[in-house]
Amino acid sequence: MKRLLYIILAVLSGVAFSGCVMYSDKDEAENPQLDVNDLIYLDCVEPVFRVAELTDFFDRYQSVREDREASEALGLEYFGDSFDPSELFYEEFTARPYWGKVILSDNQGEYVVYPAGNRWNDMYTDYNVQVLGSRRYRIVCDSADDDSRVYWKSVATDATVYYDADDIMHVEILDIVYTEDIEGESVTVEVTSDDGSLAIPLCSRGEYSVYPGSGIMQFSISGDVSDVFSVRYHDDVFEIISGSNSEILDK
Amino acid sequence: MRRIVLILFVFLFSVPSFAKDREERPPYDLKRHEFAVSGAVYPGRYAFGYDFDFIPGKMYSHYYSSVAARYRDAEIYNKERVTNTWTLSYTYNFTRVFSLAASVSYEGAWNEYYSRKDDSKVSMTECHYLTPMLTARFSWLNRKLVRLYSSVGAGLAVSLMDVSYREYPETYLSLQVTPVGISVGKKLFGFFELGVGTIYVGGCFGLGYRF
Repeated sequence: MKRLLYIILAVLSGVAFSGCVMYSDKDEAENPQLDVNDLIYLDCVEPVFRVAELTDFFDRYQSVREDREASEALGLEYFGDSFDPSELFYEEFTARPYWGKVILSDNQGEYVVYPAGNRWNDMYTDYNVQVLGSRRYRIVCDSADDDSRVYWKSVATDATVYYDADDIMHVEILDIVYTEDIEGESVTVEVTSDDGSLAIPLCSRGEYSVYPGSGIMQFSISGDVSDVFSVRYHDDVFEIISGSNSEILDK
Repeated sequence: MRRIVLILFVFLFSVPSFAKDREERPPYDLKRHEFAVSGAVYPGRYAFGYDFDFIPGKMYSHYYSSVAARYRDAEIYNKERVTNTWTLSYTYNFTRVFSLAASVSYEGAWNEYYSRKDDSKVSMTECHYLTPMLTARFSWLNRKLVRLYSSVGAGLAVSLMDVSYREYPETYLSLQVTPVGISVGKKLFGFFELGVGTIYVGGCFGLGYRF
């Protein structure tokens, strides 16, 4: 019986010790630059590409809009299953769920785009797109221009892009300023790309590229936290470059 | 098919031998009272999840999708410690088959945050639960030294302090099912149970005394 007692006491001691540490992430590698890139890219950078695609379609549509068949063929060429002919009007068009809504502006040669992402990123903004000719566009937004729409973060974008003959979009200039102010911490992130290297294919039949196929963007973070790094895009991967360190990650 | 025939064969021939045992066995010595202490892994409240996963002091949910949070979060690491579940129980055996147990279980856990820079403790959150429970137990094999049983219990878990740091104790329904338990010993006995519920998920080991 003593043996049983000893066995049980030994087991209970084991139970007590087994609960000491259930989980620890001490040895996990933290990469806030990757996290920030994900956050800013999806909320602020990618919408620029979707806005450009929507505008490029709508601008080309204006020249064939009298021909409904050609118009719908063009819509299918861009948006595939996301193209709904009943959403296509002379003055506006909506492509759900990834692109948003584009309308003719009161100003000649300009469009206003309400990106689909407005629903979830807490930055309620529309983009003003100026047609510069030859499928070249200037895309501008400032979510802080209307106080009633500013919640706790805002974005201001100024980008100039164009499509080449192969339907690749090239970014001539990209300047995005993201600001947040929450729980007493204010942070500004500026994302820039001005060497013309950033390029992403135009959407085709509803398929679109989330990330650029090439090019580099610089991230500059200031305020209550600060950091500087770059993100370089390749075909299947992207690279986060910070000083002399570089980390390659799958897209 | 062959397996079924074999099982039937073994069953048919084993029944008479059990009956023979029963005739020769002395009257069962039913002890009415049992006291026991036990420890169990994995603790049930932890298994079913109290949410430790937040940045200390930053309770505002939007903070998590902020740039500042990404950097602050990277500056710290965390450790989750638990006590496992410890139970004191009293059981009254109504018959050799049916008994009723009253128990109190304790489970505690701490989520500690440390600075990655110098390993200093930055913050800590903690949970403590006391669970009084009534359990019905059915012994389906009773031998002099060994008992096999199943049980089901229900009670209320009282959180003394939880992740939200509410001032008042909160209560939660608590259930525990033990499909199989085995106890070995006469007066002093050890036991092991397999179970699932809000007391524990997995195994429970204990020591008891019956009289």
